[in-house]
Amino acid sequence: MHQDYFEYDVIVVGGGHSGSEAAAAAANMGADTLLITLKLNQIGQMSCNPAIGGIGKGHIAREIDAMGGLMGKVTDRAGLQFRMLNKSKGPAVWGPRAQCGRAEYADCMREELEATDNLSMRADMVTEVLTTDDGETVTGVRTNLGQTFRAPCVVLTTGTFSNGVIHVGEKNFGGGRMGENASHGITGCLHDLGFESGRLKTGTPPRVDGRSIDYSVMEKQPADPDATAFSFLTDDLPPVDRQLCCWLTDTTPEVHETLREGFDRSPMFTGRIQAKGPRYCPSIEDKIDRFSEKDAHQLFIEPEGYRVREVYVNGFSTSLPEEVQFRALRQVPGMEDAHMLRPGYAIEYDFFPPYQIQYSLETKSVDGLFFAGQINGTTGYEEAAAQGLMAGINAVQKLRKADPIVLKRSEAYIGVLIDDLVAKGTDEPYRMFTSRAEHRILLRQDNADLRLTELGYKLGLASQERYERMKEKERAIDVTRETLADTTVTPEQVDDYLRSVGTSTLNQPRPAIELCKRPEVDAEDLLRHAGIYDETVTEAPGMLSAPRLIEIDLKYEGYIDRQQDMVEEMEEKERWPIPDDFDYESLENISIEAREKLSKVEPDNLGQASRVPGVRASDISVLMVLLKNEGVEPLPKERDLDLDAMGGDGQSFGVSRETAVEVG
Amino acid sequence: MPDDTIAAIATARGRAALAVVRTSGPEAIDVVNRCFRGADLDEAESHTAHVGFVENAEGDDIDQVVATVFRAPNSATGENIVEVSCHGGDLAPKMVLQSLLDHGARMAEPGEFTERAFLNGKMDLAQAEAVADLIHATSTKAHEASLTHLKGRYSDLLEDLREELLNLCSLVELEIDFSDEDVEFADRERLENLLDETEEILGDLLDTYPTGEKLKDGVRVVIGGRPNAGKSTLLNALVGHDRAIVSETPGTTRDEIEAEAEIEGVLFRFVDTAGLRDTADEIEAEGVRRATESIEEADVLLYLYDLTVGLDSEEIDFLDDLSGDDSTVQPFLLGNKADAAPDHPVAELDGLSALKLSALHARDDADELQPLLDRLTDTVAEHLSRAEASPVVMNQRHRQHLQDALDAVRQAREALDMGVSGDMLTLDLRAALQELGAITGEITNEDVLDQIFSRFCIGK
Ligand SMILES: Cc1cc2nc3c(=O)[nH]c(=O)nc-3n(C[C@H](O)[C@H](O)[C@H](O)COP(=O)(O)OP(=O)(O)OC[C@H]3O[C@@H](n4cnc5c(N)ncnc54)[C@H](O)[C@@H]3O)c2cc1C
Ligand SMILES: Nc1nc2c(ncn2[C@@H]2O[C@H](COP(=O)(O)OP(=O)(O)OP(=O)(O)O)[C@@H](O)[C@H]2O)c(=O)[nH]1
Ligand SMILES: [Mg+2]
Repeated sequence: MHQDYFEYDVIVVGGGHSGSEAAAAAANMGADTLLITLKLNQIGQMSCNPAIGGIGKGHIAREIDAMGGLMGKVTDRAGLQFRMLNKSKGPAVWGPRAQCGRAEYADCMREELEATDNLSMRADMVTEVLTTDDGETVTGVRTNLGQTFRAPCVVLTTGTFSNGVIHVGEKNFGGGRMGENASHGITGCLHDLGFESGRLKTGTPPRVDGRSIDYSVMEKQPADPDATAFSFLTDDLPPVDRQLCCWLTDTTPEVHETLREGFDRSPMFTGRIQAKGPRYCPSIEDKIDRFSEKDAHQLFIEPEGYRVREVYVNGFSTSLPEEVQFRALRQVPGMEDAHMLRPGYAIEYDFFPPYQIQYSLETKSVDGLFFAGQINGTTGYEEAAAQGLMAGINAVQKLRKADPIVLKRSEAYIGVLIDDLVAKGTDEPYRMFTSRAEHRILLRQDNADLRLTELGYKLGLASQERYERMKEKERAIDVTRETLADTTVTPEQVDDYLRSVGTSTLNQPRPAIELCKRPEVDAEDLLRHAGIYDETVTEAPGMLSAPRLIEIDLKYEGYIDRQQDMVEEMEEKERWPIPDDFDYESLENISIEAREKLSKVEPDNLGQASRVPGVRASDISVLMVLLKNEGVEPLPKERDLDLDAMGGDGQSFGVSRETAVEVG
Repeated sequence: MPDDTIAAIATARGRAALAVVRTSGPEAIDVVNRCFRGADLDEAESHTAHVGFVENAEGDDIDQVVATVFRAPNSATGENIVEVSCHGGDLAPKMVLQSLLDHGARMAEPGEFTERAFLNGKMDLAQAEAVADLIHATSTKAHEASLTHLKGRYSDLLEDLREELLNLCSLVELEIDFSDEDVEFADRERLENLLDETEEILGDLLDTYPTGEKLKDGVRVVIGGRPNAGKSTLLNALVGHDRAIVSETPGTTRDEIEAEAEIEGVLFRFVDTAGLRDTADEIEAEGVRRATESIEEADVLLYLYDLTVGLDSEEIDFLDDLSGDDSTVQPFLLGNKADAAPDHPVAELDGLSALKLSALHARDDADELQPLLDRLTDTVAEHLSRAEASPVVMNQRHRQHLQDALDAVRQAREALDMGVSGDMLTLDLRAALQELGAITGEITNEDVLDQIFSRFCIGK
């Protein structure tokens, strides 16, 4: 336990998806951590859609887990329905998704946090960020109850709560989420410290009593037998028949007509809401307005929990007057008798344009102050959680006087996310897509552990168990691969199978590994058919069999190699550091726009600089020449992770306290 | 922002009624105002012209001029610009320039106006390069082609191509990132068609490179043949002065002699070579070796022989090889010394265009030379009509990027045929986009998602 009730190593403000990960990471890495959040029973609350993962987002969730974060484990425990999206596409873009029990998720998250050593919690509102007199170094926070808590690192994750305003039709009132108060004070305090803030908006659909819905006219979307768990520590999911289903229905022209009647009272159209919302989560009014030629929009009816009948009407996000929402909803096929439990609404909130943070998520102007989650301009639980995790890690790295951990774009979606935020900034809520990751062929959800667990382990975050499982998987893959290369199969053994999947048969014995490369061949089926599964396969822990794991690498070998080459080419630039106080204004030979943008973003290296919008290829060439002339040396290729050098200040850092997972 | 002000004479030297001296930079208006007697240019609005006198440092009038004021950012360079139109000739422009330099401007480096325009975002990279090409353009046609680039037609074409590729990419990405959305996905056939289209446009553009290269660097015409055939005499006739030594001693020419001439707006680079023969003379032998090499690298070979001597069998074999399909050289057979052999017809060889002439007379008689000149311009006629019809690729760097883009598109096309999944396909498409971006200087990132959101109803 901590030495003093008012003194900590790290204080995390906000117990949403971002704050939970930040607090757990910092505490698991050995820092005395205090999590202050408005309400303890709302920890890890899903504000919107009760689902984790999806395409791109599922990748992030797996990466958080691979590093030793909580999201994957909690999702596995709270999941109601698991699916694997994009199964018909290339394996790099498969996306795990789980429908979760809203209350279950929050409960499990709180349980995980309570099981974490070094972590204390407090229900309170932070109203002030405290700094040294010069405003350059954070010293702690002051709360609404008048208490002062001190720490050299403070992570702010206040989500949609800072000066939140909720809109339903012409009504609006302060709030951070429906039924919860907004938080005030922090934005003003940050303005005084020189920060700039902006406003963003998002929205959510109505909730309906499932007992009032006629599912017989809807299409059923059952759980997916091919789904895998989110956590690399989870071996089983609940049987498919015990999982819940979702239901699909569509809006109709009549529904649209009714909704249109409310347009003149929509805060979006009357201009009452000025802030920008996410283009990929448009409200239903936005959809029918912008794509008026479409006379139906798909709606997903999603369960909210095993124990409650409440459902979530995904696709019907709206801030129209409640009465209009209600009338329109009742025109949707199957919803004629729908009982609305709560209307949809839009919310506006403060965010801090992310050019103000460094790649470590520490702010540029206040030492020890970190920003993570929605306040950096993102949207989504996974995006928030990923930043929380990295902020927690980097707060501890700072205490250790070690280099911050910055994941590369070629290493993780998390790296893409943070690089996009810092280098490109955002003026609308930012969400992850696989198309944002130029190296996505390497960044598969099934290999997140191979990419990141070692790092998490070395940082003292991922547990021994997690590390060993990853190593075992790595070994299983290698051994199986070798065995398959050494094993020949005869035409008699496999021709039947080859014929059945429509590929050419053999005229002489061939190494099994060659057949696995064929696009039509399913490695596992092939080996079973040939009767050599058990003798050739060394099983890997986790939910994917070893043959499945290797066949992806085999089938896409050529592309993977090419992608590796591209990564190396790109990383040449990443290795050129740009000195901290580099004076762009004095550069005569790069464009004016580039000078301005680069001075604002302050990239750490040439690669990052090249991604700043407005910077042209020629500008980068000029910069490169300048750096060379100034005698700047390229950095080594590998990240320096000398553990001994990390525990600098004699604290018991470096031993993971990550808890084991239990999934029923 | 560069903080100094530059000046230079913007018009070509030589006899002309008017010349323009241009000043650009934050102090351009002040500098001119200091030596301008007339309206107060400080007060002048952008895009206005003012009559007055330019004075020298001693305060004496130099010339009556018109000063046109352009204020930043609405000027060619994005900075303040004053263009002083003075009288032409050698003297007036120089004195006006000197006065501007005396009053605070700095002499501009070659290309510096362009550089400033580029830095201020007034031009993209392709346009800036076109200006550089223009400054170095040696022939009228090359000049015209550069102008086309400058006007942005070339940039527009590249932009169209990029749009096309972005469109393709977004169709594929749509399927990946939004597979659970209720939108219509492009079928394979549509993707195939789009890829084919892109491949075609890229291919056509690349095919213009030989044209661009010829316009810019000139057509390389090598004059070859036996000693004493009259090669040097012909070179002199073609370029209109006595460039090469002519003598009746066989083996006169040793080193290659190059000379340029513009014919119908196109630049030709003529190369006179040593006469081809076996020789014991070491120096001459080296000349012969070089001549052979030159012939291989020529665009056009003018093979000369003396009509009074005739072609020997070795020459016939040599020419036979050159007129084969895989030869990159276009040969012409010229029977020379027609004056001395009026009755000898020129030899007829398979697939070889032949002409009879007198190099000796051609020096002073334009009519004698004309048929040869016509043949020469015919060799580039195809290129010329192409250059008039559409932008041509003139720059080696562009050609390389376009070629890489084309290779990537072809790979994508192959991958599509093999049923490779979308995430792999986009690897190639993005590579192609990146290559195009390298030409215009843009770096692609958000564009694909922007396309998707603007065109499809996405999101729950
Ligand atoms: C109405 C609505 C609709 C949404 N729609 C979508 C959507 O369509 N798609 C999507 O991907 N995402 C959506 N989201 C976003 C998603 O909920 C967030 O991205 C995610 O929850 C952000 O996580 P976070 O940790 O940054 O913040 P939050 O989850 O908002 O958590 C903030 C936490 O900080 C606490 N807190 C705030 N201020 C203080 C303070 N001063 N002192 C102490 N504690 C404080 C709060 O109690 C809360 O626990 C929506 C959110 C809302 C509210
Ligand atoms: N009558 C006549 N004499 C010519 C003609 N062309 C060239 N000659 C003469 O032929 C001789 C050789 O001419 P050059 O031009 O030096 O020949 P060349 O092919 O360059 O010879 P080398 O450099 O020695 O290989 C000179 O005496 C020329 O005056 C022509 O058309 N008619
Ligand atoms: Mg000669």
